[in-house]
Amino acid sequence: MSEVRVELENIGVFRERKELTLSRGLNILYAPNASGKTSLISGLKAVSVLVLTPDELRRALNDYEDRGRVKLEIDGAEYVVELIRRPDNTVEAWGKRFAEDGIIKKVAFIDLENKLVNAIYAGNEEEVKRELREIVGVSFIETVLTVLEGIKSEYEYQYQSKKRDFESKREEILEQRKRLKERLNEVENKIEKIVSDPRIEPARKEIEEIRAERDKLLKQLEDERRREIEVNNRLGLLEHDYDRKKRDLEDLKERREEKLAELSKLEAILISTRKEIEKLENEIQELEKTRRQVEQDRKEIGKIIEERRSVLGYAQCPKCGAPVDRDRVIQEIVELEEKAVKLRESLDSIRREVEARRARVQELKERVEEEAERLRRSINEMTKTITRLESEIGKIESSIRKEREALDEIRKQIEALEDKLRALDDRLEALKDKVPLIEELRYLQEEEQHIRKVLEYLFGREQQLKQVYSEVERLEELVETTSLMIEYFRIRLNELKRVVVEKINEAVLKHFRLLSLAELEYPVLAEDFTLTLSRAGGIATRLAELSDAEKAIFTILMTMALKDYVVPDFPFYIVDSVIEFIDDARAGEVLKYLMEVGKNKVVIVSKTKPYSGQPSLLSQEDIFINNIPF
Amino acid sequence: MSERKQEVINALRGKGIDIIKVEKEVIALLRKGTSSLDVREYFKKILGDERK
Repeated sequence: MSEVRVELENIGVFRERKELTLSRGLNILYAPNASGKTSLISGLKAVSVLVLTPDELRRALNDYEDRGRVKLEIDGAEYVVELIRRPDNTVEAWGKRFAEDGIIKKVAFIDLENKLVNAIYAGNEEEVKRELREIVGVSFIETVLTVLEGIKSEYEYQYQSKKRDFESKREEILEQRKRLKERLNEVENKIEKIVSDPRIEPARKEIEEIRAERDKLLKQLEDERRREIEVNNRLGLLEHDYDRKKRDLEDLKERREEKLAELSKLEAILISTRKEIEKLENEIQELEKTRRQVEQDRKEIGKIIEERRSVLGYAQCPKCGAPVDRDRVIQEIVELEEKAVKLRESLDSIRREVEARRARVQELKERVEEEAERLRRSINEMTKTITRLESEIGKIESSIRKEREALDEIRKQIEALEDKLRALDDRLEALKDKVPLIEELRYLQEEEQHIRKVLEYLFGREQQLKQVYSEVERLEELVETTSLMIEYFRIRLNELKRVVVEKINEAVLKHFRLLSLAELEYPVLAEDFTLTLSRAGGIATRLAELSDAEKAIFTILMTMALKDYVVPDFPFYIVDSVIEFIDDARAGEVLKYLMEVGKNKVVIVSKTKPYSGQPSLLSQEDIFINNIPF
Repeated sequence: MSERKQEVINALRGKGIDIIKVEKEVIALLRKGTSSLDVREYFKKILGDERK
């Protein structure tokens, strides 16, 4: 039968180091109050589960100490948790726990800190229902649904507002373009009329030449303006990307600084840890020296005993010839043997001390150095990302520079084309005296040019709007994905509710002996997680109507059924104090049952006195009579 | 498994989300005592909408 070792240091009532050994099967701890039963259980809880309340952590650590430690050895694996009191009197725990699952605490540690136990005792069926939903995971899925619904409505709001924004802007642009195009047509028709008017005859040739040149320039201007819009949009995207990466970089650098500060603190701890290790190593050396001395003393005593024994067969000492006083020699041998036993015990104790110190040295090395290594790795990762980001930012900066240069070039081109257009206008202006219609033509041409410029500007806005639309599409996709996730978790919630109730009732039925000890009938749980308790003959009853003993048995029954369902592999099942509420006869039955079902687990039951009832039900190897002093 | 559930799983898989794995991970987080706020961040990450 494999053993489970627990080492407690400054835990609960225990100060200094305390080692306890538990067996597979039933372990009964009986000792008066304040002897350390609950301390052992608190220690086991601290090393078994990750999620402990601040009160549970405070209670686990000895009131007079600032540091405590629990070590659990089970199935060849080792788990160690350190408890540290902070200046504000809160207690923190860190180290390697057996499990990270917070539900374990609710179904495997049946003590008066357990909410389900308290709810059953208070007869509070609503609270029992709430706890059951949490233990089986139903309330977790409900939390997931609440979170997802929150995310979905956030996306929906963003989607609707961006979509509205996009649509109203697009409508505005379309409306404006329509109006401008109509006006442009009118202007072009008017120009056409003027150009075909016989009154321009004296300057027709020159006017037609200027117009042909002008059309060519306007076409070039349109191309350049489109290029300007494209480059401007690319520049906008690059600048946006640049700002985002710059922010990420700053954030990362800040976090790296924090980690570096953490590392430097840890390195300071590392120095003190190394000193502590050095001190422990010196102690080991001293102990080794004492051990060698004790071994030497033992050997010498062994020799003396041999010598004394060798003279017992003679009347006179064969060496010195003196008469042998047998009684005195026997007395001497007895005294020497006693001394040898003491020396052996002392040697064993020194060996244990040496081992303990070596283990502590190893652990200190692993704990602080591993943490420092983890930090270094994380800093290295951050440095790599920083380098990558800096290189990306460098590339973006170079692209921004190129685009800006291109933009400058285009703007120069536009300016040059506009100058040429102005020159053509001046040529036209010079013809005014010959042809009075020229003034109207010039006015119309200016308007035409202005409309074309505004149309190009609207084209640019339309291009920008396409980017807003891609954001609308992204949000629409997010709303769709979140809706699918919500649908999935709703299906799972319904499945879970159905399956869980069925499974728990099955598990309850498996423990029918406890059910009948509590004088209750099957089934226990209804589909909405309410308890349906009934006495023999189907007479309905309520939790509040059960006696304390029945409540205790029911608590054990429910938690065992829940444990079977949610964490069947967790090796411990611990009942602290609750058993005290059950009368001796039924308590004996419950213990017998726990012994049967808990063969492969470590079942611990604590109480203040041994049972007067049926101790013969329990075989000696299954009983752990604790060595807690009382 | 209901037909609709399988359809939803496939649709999410098509969007690059393994919802069964997500369910396991998020329940483990909640069983560890993770807050709703952190669960929200977890989902935002899954949805590819992380805020830095």
